[in-house]
Amino acid sequence: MPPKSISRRRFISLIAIASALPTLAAAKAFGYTYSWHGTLMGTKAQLTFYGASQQPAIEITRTCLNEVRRLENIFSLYQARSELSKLNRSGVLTAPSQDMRQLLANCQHLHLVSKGNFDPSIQPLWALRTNWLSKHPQRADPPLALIAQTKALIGFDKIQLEETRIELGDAQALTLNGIAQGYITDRVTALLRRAGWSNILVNMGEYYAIGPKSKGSPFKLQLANSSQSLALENQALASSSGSGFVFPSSNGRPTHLINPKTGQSPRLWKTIHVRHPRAVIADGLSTSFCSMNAAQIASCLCHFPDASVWAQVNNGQIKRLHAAQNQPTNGSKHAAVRRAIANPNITPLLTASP
Amino acid sequence: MGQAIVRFLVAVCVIILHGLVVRPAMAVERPQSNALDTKQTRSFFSSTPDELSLRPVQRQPPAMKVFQRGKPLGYVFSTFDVSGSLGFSGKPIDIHVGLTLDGHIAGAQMVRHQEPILVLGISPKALADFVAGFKGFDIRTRLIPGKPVAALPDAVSGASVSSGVIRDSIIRSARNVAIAHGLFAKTARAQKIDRTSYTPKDWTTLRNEGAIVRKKITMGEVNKAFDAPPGRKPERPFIDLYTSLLTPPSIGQNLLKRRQYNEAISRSGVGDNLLMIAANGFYSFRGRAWKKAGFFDRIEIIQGTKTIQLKKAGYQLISELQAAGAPEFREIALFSLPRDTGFDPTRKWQLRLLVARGESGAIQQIKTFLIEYQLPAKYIIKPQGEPDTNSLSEAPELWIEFWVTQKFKIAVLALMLMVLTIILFFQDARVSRKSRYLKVRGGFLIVTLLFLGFYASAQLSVLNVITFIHSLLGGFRWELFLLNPLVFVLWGFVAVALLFWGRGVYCGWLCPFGALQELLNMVARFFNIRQINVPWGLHERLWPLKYILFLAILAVSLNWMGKAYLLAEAEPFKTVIILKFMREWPFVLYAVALLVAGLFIERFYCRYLCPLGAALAIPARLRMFEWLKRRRQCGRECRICASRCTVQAIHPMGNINPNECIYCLRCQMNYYDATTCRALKDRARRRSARSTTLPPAPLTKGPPDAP
Repeated sequence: MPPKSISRRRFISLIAIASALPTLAAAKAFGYTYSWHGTLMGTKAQLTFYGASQQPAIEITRTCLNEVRRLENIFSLYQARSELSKLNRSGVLTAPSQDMRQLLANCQHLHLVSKGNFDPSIQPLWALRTNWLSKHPQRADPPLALIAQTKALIGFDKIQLEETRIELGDAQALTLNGIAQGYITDRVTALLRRAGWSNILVNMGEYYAIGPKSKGSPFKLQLANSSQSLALENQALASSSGSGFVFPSSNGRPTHLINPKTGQSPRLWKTIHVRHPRAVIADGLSTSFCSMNAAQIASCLCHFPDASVWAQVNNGQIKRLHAAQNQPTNGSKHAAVRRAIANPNITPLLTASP
Repeated sequence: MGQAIVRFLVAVCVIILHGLVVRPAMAVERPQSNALDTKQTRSFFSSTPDELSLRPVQRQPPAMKVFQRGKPLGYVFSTFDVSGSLGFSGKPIDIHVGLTLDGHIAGAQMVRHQEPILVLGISPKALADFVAGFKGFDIRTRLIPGKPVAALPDAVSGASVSSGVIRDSIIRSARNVAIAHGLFAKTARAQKIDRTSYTPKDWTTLRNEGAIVRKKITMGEVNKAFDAPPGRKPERPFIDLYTSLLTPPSIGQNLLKRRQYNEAISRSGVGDNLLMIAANGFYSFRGRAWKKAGFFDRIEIIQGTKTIQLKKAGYQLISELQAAGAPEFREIALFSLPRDTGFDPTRKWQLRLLVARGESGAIQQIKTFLIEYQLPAKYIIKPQGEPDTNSLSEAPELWIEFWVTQKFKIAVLALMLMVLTIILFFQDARVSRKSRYLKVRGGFLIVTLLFLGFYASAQLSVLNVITFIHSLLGGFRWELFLLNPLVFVLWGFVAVALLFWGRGVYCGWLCPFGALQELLNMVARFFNIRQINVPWGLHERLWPLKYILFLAILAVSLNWMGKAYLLAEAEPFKTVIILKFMREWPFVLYAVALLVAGLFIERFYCRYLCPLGAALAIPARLRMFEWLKRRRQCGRECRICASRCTVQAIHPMGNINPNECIYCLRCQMNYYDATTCRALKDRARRRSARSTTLPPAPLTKGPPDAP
């Protein structure tokens, strides 16, 4: 029997469990000196220190958690006073924090290079699905007309990002849950690095390995349903799985992933793993690749020479995906982004006044 | 008469038993604390209505957290909920208190109490002012018994014990809430920043000690952060940034002109901080957007879980720094960091600089750079002498404080009681000389009236008895009675004296109002005011009035304490002794009427009306000693004592009614007075006759003869 209603938080934690299961074998790794477990942004989180003494590890963990709380106060959908909630409520956010601007700039970039397949503005579609499910537990699929109607609201390009003001399009709302986890992971990682720490496996929704596990042996994470494991050192690993959570539904079997272009759940891949030195990129790419076919992924990967992608096809086989060879990269990995930017004059906007 | 008393005793027992039975029901309807409301809270935190919200915190002791536009302001709580505060009456006292996050009282309001002195007698405004006077009090202030604290409001005059109870309820509850809700975790050991001392320092010194920190970011570094080629001159400074916290004068006053610094500091609020950012190089940390937006988008302060934006409101551009050796800067700005941002100058913070590539409104790449700042330890004052959380919870009991502060009064009272004990134990010797006895008694009564009454306000009341009975019914607490040391000592003495000699020892010697009546009557007699002799039959039938009054007060108090207080206004003690006639005219009129009646009928009030006397007379039935001596002739041959008894407690038949006797010892004086006592006079006559003619006549069996 399907659950009568699923709250967003419960839902996220389901995802968390589901996504944690396939990717890792490291959580049970032995030999760590201190490990912190908790919940952040509605997801299970973990910090595991190797080869450090315990007391300083506990202290730096406290600092990390302060930083996480600070960022939760900005990005959380569940805190009514977070910047994100304010933005969703009123459609405008004046005086955005630097973190909000930075994350949205990242989103904008990802939206562009994924050709619209990465889109945090799918929140109305998500709300439609969950509301529909709680009202019609027997018919989990909202009518197509309603989906189409809601889909018209979607579009990250309708959002105006200015230095001091962020404005959404009509009836738009953002969800930053996944990507904010990536951002938080990057922030915590940077904090730990600044404080001189190494040999830490960070899991704040995405995995990040700071340094190797010990000298000469990097962290090894095992991919889901597979004997394949991959090394992680000063890199993040993000995984998106269509099979993590499935809405109870007679047909279509929608999951927590939504293709912003169709409004449906993507079916192309079972799981996508992306490894990248920045968790926010790894997260954004793994999410958007779920809605993209191999060719699209290959093309997108041209912008991210540091990214490695593994895709598990629906029969369980895992294959590595590579950037398209014939794509002209114009000598610079940022060329495509630069071309896309409306203003052709890309000299940095550095105001030397007043 | 004895039968009547037995009946009273039975009635009292019935009432008490009734009370015991009824008690559980009373416990059920034990009044809940009045609901905390936002209106009240608003007045505490002086906030506008829509901005304020209250949220209960699931923690013991219970309190509501106050938020203003989502920002926590403090707590509100009910003292009754938090500490089950009881008044001096032993009944709940409930004060709603607002507490700021830094441990100051934001406001307090009495919502319910049943303090007799405050129910009637003290103006509600005096009480409200007293309670409201706690606003701004730092609950961490160490309270030392006997040392008045300037920051605390004075007691409501005439109600010092209740005032003390109120003060104790507020402070104790506030400390409990603060400790339980972790306020002191942050503030009790809170370090403070040195805002006063000044030492001249030059730029290099300030740089070296870390009061000014610098971060230089080159073009190459920025380009690298953006994954861009290093550019033509990567070593060129993109920005050379300096930041410093100017709040301590040794930093601020050295960097700025003295006037500039003073202005900036005085413009900012208490607890605000002053931040300086100065820079050279290609990039402006201010940008341009702030003029329109009202905040600076390129710089941000991060501390712990807080992200603090720098606002245009607290911003000021400075042209140059004063410190010797300070470099020139392209831009120098001061920012105020308001207290309500939660910025803690003693802790580490970061200044974050944002650099964006791409045009506003279009796709941007954003990078940030951090400067860490920790104010050097020399500018931080470690807390000294501030009580830590433990000592706060172990603050001395309020009653101890009262005993310490009233040492002198207690000592004088103890002396008085000693003197009285000596008088009572050696009463025969004391009364043997008439004039000396009258002087001693008059003197004692004057001390009782002036010291015990008007100075120390140690006037017992029937309400003490009621409170005692209630506390026996509902959980006895020594603290309740220890709160007023004089009354406690008095009651201790009276309890013993009751068992030894009866109620008269208190009524006749230690009751200030009784003393006043007697002294006034002495004056009246001196001016030859005619005394009215109440016919015995009427006199005897007026006695029960006071017992009825007492039982009525007791009965009413079992269910309606407030009404019992009203009924207890039959006692003029509060009007006369405690408030010294400073009261509404009906009370004054009543008291004056009683005193006037006392001019004609000595101790009119004591005889017929005093419910306290009645309350004492009932247990005094248990008394053990009969030290008042009588002769066989008393009541038969002679009724001189009966007619001279000041309260007509001597039956025409000669026996002394101990329920009515005030133990003034006048009859004993007569007993030994050869010029008054008829038996002695007869004996003397016989003796003189025998010395001439007759052989000595055998004396009647009786107490020893006079010396």
